[in-house]
Amino acid sequence: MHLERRDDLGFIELLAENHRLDEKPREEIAALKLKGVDIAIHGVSLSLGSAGLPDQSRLASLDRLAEVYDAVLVSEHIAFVRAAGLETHHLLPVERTEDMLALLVRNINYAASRLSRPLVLENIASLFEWPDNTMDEPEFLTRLTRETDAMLLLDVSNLYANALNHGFDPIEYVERLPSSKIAYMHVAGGTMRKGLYHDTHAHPLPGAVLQLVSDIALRLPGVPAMLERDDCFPIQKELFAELDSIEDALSRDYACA
Amino acid sequence: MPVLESKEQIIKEKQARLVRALLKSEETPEGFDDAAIDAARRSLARKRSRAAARTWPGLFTDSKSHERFEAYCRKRGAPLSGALLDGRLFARYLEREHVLTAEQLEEIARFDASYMVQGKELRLRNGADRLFRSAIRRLTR
Repeated sequence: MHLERRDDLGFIELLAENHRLDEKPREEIAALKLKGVDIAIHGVSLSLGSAGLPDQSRLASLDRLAEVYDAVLVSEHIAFVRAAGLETHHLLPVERTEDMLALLVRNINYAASRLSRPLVLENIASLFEWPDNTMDEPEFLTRLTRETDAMLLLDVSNLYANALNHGFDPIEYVERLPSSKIAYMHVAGGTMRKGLYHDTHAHPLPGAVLQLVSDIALRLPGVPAMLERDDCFPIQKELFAELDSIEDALSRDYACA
Repeated sequence: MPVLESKEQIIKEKQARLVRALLKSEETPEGFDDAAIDAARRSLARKRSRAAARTWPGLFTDSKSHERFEAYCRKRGAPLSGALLDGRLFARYLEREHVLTAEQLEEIARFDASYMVQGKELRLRNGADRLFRSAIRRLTR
């Protein structure tokens, strides 16, 4: 995709599950590092929200990958991906209760203690809600950041999807988060299907998501954002145009400040 | 049982019921929005289908392929690890449905020359496997 042709990249993410530790580190990533681009390791299969402690070998792999690429952080999701001996290959929401909070705090602290880089946690998109939630997400995330040292990765597209599908105000959501704990943001494309918005990482960025990025940037000045695209890659020109549109959306912050 | 452990056990059971509803089409757990769970179930199957199509493009050549994959998901229930294995098991399902073309059968045979399904995993064939496989082929020719 020739990302090295862009001079304005601050950081990229490596999807941990796409990299094997027995392979040589990728040269194109080393080239980006030489240009000063930071690397973040992003995992999708740790399942911090599952009962039981997170898997030690997965944690060791994440940490080893972070070492290999000299990453600045490791990010994962506030979610579970397996239960009943079944792999879902999908991020599922945790129930937002005191008991779940206690379990997550324990698992996050355990994971953080086995990683040599800071752990950053991402909000996910979900088409359904648990019926017995006792907290909304901003409260739950705020409590997590108070009770652990983890920072937050705000996925704007997941927030957009949840706000649309579950009917809440995304700006009020952001205003209730601890802004100093937000490390960076994800932005991705999606599509409407049968009245529900799906965050796909495979479709172009909708204008409404970019508008939300702008509105959030006003409230979180200086928080960087990255494009998540991992399926149906467009031609380079279109991909670079999407990166430019995120940059524009973020810079409205400075124009209005 | 200590309090934390018993609470964790409850979480474990609740998550298990939810995952079985999503992957094995078991009953939606009480209190959940049935329509939302159904949408999530379809979304998971689509995602799994796209992943299998990327690794097995030859099995997804006509407009009914994804529909057939969803039928396979409903029948098979839980996905095993990895899209490559999922695709191979989908191929087995299509073989039983007698809908594979000669080209698709060839693609599967090429794949099987290098890999084998062992329990819930896919593994590369070693020299002994290949020898055994070629002896079987000679005997059954």
